[in-house]
Amino acid sequence: MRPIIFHVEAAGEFRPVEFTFASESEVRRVRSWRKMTPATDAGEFAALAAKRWFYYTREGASVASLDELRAAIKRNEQAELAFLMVASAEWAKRYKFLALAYCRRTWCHHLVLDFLAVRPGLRFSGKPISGIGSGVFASLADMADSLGMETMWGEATASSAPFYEKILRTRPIKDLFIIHRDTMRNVREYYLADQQSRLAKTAKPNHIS
Amino acid sequence: MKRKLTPREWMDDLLEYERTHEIAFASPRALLEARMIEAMDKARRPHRRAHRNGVAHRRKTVGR
Repeated sequence: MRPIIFHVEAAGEFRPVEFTFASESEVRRVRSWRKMTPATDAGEFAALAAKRWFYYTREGASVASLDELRAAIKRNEQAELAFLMVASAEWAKRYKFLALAYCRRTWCHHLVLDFLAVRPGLRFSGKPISGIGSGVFASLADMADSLGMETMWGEATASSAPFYEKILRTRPIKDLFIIHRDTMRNVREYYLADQQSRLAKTAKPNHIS
Repeated sequence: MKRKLTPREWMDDLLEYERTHEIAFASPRALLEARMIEAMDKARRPHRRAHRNGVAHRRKTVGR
């Protein structure tokens, strides 16, 4: 499977990020975020998401690739499956992972987003990297749509609701967000339109006036 | 009527939000379940760290 690619803003440039299913060894590395970024929600959520992944793995209810996900659904249409997606970038190797998303495929083929965390304090060339959370969310919406999922949903909290309101361009979001395929596609279309315009701007040669 | 944001404005708004807020979200139910799994794991883990990996037992030294 080819990795999902999205672009983020880093040191004034638009750079690619890979978004893939995490293998067992990668989940172990995600777990160590708690030590590397102590006293942050992201560090705690990463460790807890990894814990949950290992628990589901012991129960035979996790997958580590898109092919595994498809095969598991083929074997049992009502399978409840968990997976952890990680974002990484060749140009930001020192971090190994930039973000994670822990998701579940429910028995009725919906996608649930349980954890979404961007590693705190990400910097490149001394400047912050931004756009990772939006890239992860837009990629998940795209993946859910391409898997034929009718619905993607998650619980929202006081701290996450404003982010979901912004990315879904709807308000208010209370303690639950539910998006259907038309919204998944809207998010993806908007996201792609913006990425294309930024990439075109980056690729444009400098003119001497 | 509120004007619809262009993709560029929408993303600028999101980028600004990401620059100023930590993106670390968890569903309360998933968080509770994960914490219970963690507590269960801790309770199940054997408490014999000092005796692992061939670490020699400490013995009282006998005074001469």
